[in-house]
Amino acid sequence: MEFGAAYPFVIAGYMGIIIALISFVLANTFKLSRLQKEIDLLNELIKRKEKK
Amino acid sequence: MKQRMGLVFGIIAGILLLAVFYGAFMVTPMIVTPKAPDGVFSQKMFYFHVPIALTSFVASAIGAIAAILFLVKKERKYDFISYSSVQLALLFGFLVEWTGIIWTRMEWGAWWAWEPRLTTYLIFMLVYAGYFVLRSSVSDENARARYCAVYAIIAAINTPLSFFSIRLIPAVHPVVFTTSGASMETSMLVTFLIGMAGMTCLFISLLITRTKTESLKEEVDYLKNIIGG
Repeated sequence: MEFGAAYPFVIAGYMGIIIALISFVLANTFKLSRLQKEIDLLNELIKRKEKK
Repeated sequence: MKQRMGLVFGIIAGILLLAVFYGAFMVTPMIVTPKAPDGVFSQKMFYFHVPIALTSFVASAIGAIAAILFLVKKERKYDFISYSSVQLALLFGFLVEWTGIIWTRMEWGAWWAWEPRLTTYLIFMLVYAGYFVLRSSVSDENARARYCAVYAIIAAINTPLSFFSIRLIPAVHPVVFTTSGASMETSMLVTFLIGMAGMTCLFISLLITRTKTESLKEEVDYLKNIIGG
């Protein structure tokens, strides 16, 4: 394939890698942060239950 | 501590992968052939495609090793590592296929060819997709972990088959690294090695984060049970 014709394909390839990896990293980071908050909340609830 | 390690590896991976972008487009020479006097631009995919492919094989191997450790030691953390590693093997697998079909379209004029490497790699991905079907279909936690560990070990058998397929069977897929060394210039090899290091760091970072997420999920379930009881 000629240089000019190959250009969009290579860009599409690299964009795909970047989008997929960034999405995966962000999704995991948000999930981790949500779970941590949920654990803090549940621990708080357990403490309140014990006090009662 | 582990989370911080994940972040450190993530930052190192980011820096290394940016260096690969720079190296691929600014440093490495354009391969010129009689058919392509302007240069073979599709070759630029190599610096990401091959490191991602090799990392997917590493992920598959770690998934199997952690699965063996789970079956031997019966510790949940190994199940989490195996599960996370298999997830990453599939993620990297998709990226290999994505970059692979684009390169195939550019060089061979078709999106797909039923040749040994492509076919064995497609099987590799389908087998790992099956892992998630199995994981979601068993409700009992212990049974699920046991079945998935056995499956991860069996699934990893395809990894050496896919890796050696182009070396053992005549194929059209290019072979860059042979027993006589790498057939490329020094700058290209250095860019490739940086890519390899970057992808490995990214894999370690994601593996730590995914494993941590799984252990937190279990902790949430445990705390919910306490409140419920």
